[in-house]
Amino acid sequence: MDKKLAYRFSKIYNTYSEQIYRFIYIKVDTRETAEDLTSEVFVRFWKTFQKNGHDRIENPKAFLYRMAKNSIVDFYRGRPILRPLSDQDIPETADKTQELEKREMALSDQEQIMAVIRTLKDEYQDVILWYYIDQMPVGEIAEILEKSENAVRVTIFRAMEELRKNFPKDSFSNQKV
Amino acid sequence: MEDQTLINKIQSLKAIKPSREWQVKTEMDILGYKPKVWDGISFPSVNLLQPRYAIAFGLIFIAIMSSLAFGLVPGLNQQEMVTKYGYAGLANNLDKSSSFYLDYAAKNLQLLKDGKIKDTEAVVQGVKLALERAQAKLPTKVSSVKESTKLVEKINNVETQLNSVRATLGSEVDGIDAEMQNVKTSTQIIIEKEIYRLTAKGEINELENSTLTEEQKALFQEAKELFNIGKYQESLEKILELSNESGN
Repeated sequence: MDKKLAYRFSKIYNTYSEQIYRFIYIKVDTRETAEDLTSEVFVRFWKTFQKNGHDRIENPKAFLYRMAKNSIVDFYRGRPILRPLSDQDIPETADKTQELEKREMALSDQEQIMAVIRTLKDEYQDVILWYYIDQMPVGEIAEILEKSENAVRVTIFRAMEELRKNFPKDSFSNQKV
Repeated sequence: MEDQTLINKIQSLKAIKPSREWQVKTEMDILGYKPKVWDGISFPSVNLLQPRYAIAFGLIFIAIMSSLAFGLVPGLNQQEMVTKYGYAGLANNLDKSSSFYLDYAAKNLQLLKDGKIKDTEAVVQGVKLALERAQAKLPTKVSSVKESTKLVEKINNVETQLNSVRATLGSEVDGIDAEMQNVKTSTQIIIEKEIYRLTAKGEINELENSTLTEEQKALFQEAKELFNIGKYQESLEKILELSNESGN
């Protein structure tokens, strides 16, 4: 094994594995699946790394997130029944907010915010996770999404609007801010 | 809901993290760096590819793994063993090293496999006793890579011989399994401890020359104290806690 290559991979792995795991976990909601998919992402990354050399991957973070997104898509493509709750799951005639309130009543804070994030479309979920959790600069998000920075700003704004709208009323009314 | 409240809630998801154990294991699996002696050995939760750890781990495991490639049964004179097998072979050897007893067990099994001893029951009892004594005589710590390699090599020899005999005699030698497992587990614990010791020692040396905050200094002091009383795993955990402090 090329030790230099392994060392560089190790550095990247130790820098991003937590973020990639979290990104996947929030979308799939089980530790086991998140671990499997994260491993898969890094195995594929390592293979690419070995094949092309580390110099050929200009932005490892963007590369990893793209692979993570693909893994999640593949995962749900193979298991449509396990897809997380989304807008489409709730009949048009139902009051979505009320429906969510019922569903989320028993959930913890963390589970609750995850559940609401999952009601958003994929791109909105992604920008919220990257911008607010990973605190990724807009420029980097633009690179991953292959969009302009302005377009990303608009997407973040709309994602937050949608998130606010989907929050069950009084979700955190008894809690400190 | 106010924007800031919402953002705070989103940011609470930062608490979602994979277990460090899983991270380390996955990294090792991907890189094919899987220095496995036996199933169940656990490793310190550190980045094994960082140079300072690589030295300690590399030395131990390269040596151990290389040793596994050789199926040598070192030691005793075969003629002597033919006449002194089973309990009889141990009667005059009540206070030997664990290496002696492991060699004795391997040799007895080899002779049984080769048909040079016919009394299976006597060999089974003798090997059980030898393994019990080997376990009792295990060193409390391995003082060198060479020593741990030698120990693992000898235990693997016994197991190899046992499996060969089992292929011929079947369940007649099953009675040895429990003692075999015990001696393996005890050795495993000793080697693990040595791994933690080496890793913690490397970390402490590294941190001696680092600039630390007051909180980190306190943690470092605790880590050193734990190290000095032989609590290497706890010492390493304290060091990891200290490292996390710097990331916060």
